[in-house]
Amino acid sequence: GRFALLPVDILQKIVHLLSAQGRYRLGSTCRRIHNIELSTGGRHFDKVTIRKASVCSGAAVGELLLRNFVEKFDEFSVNCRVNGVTASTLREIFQIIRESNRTRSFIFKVPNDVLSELLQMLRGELWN
Amino acid sequence: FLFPIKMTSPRMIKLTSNDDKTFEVERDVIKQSVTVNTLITDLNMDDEDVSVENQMAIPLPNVDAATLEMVITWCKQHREDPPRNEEEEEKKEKRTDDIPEWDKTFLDVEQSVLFALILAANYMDIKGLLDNCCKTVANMIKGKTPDEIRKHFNIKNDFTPEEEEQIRKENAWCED
Repeated sequence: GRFALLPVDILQKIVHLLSAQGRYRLGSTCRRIHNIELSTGGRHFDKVTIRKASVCSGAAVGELLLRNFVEKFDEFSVNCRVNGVTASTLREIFQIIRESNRTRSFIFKVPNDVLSELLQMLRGELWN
Repeated sequence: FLFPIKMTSPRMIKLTSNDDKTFEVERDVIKQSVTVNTLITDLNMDDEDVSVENQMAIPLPNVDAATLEMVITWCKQHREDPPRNEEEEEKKEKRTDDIPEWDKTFLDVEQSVLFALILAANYMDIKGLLDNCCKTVANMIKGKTPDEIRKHFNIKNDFTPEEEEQIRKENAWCED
């Protein structure tokens, strides 16, 4: 089909227009489109959720699930620091993201108080 | 006092498709094509002393006559559109439900025609047309499974079963 042979920048444009589900479904159709979809940078997490909250060793802990984060985290990191989120937690998170180039989901255990603040900021800064 | 009003006909530009058909189009209409616009400026074709008969036609080797005709029709329809601010466009939320009604009808064509329009809009650098074509394609993809997308666009599945399973696992979260 001619669709799969469209130039890379056009397919990237179409990928950008789709929701995460649409993007991944399109990327699952053939190898070329899959590679294009993988290389298509976005600017935000597709999904930021608290997966669950639990009590671990006496401290409240939540799981922050970040999915499909691509690019621009340096800029975001600066914004977070300015806004006062624990720098060490952020550094840890971004280090893991940097090292997991092709991983689409990241799950972090973070204290609940940091979690809610972080979640709020992630949504404000990147989700929207 | 009565002053004579000088009636000037609109400035025309000649474009030639890759199958050698020449179209005359108003300068003001084709300004939406960055590629053509740049050529007109670079080649000093805005010189009012040169009549359209003596004017060189701009060759468009990547566009056939049928597609070029459609591109011109689209440009005529959108000639009054305000100039695009690409920075603003970039910042805008990406949506596919904001295609104008006229464009929806205009782009309701066979896939081969739509893809030819996409390639022409890309080559001629007509961002509004390209955007609306891509949105139309994105709307065709929305809500379909990978298999349905393959069938719709006649895409050959060249994954091994193992690769397909791996991708399915990676993407499972989207199907929550």
